Amino acid sequence: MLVLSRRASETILLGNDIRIVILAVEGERVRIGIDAPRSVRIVRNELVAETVDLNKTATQTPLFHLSRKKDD
Amino acid sequence: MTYQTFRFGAVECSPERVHRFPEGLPGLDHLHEFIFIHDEETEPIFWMQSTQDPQIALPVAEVFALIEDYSLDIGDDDLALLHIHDPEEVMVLVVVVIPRDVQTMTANLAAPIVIQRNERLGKQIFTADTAYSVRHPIFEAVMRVLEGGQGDAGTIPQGE
Repeated sequence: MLVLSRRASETILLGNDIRIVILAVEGERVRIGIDAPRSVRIVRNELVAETVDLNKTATQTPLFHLSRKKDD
Repeated sequence: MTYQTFRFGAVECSPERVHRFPEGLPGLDHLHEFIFIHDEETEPIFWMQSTQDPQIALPVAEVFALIEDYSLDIGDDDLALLHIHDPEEVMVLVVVVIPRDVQTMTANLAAPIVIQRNERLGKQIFTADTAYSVRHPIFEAVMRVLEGGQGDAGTIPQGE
């Protein structure tokens, strides 16, 4: 893994068409701007892990029913 | 064609109504074919049932029925994978997690399932937008749809 130190407003280039800008550093939070072609998928890693968990939880749904207004 | 399911017993569904997920679903990567099952007891939530594993069915809902101003940017690679040329071909579902207390049900708005209806291709995609929660409470929206106050749950194609 390449490790770089950057300050706010500094930029990293990946290849020819991806720019990563450190916008601000506020305590433990880093705001990052990414310029990339639409074909490059940008995903927060934790979203993948949470979705895996939620999909698995959804397959264990207990029986339920929703009350609805019925004619009878 | 008859499919055996754990939750619904034997379900009749024509092979043209099977939806293909070329990449599976996150956490269920090995499952590539699902049918939709509508159950009066749970509408407007319906079910994505695996044709390969009778045990696997996920409750889902049409996101625009629940959240009218939901928006989604589908990347070029996903548009190509799903053969999407026209927004009219697209149905967007969200996976619903329903605990024993149904009032605390939530939907994963950050990773919607995009379906190309005509060719019945699907994929769960990850939004880059941090505005949407993976656990968005939806009970009140579901109740509004049930009461017919708003939403277009009535347009969910039956038995598709």
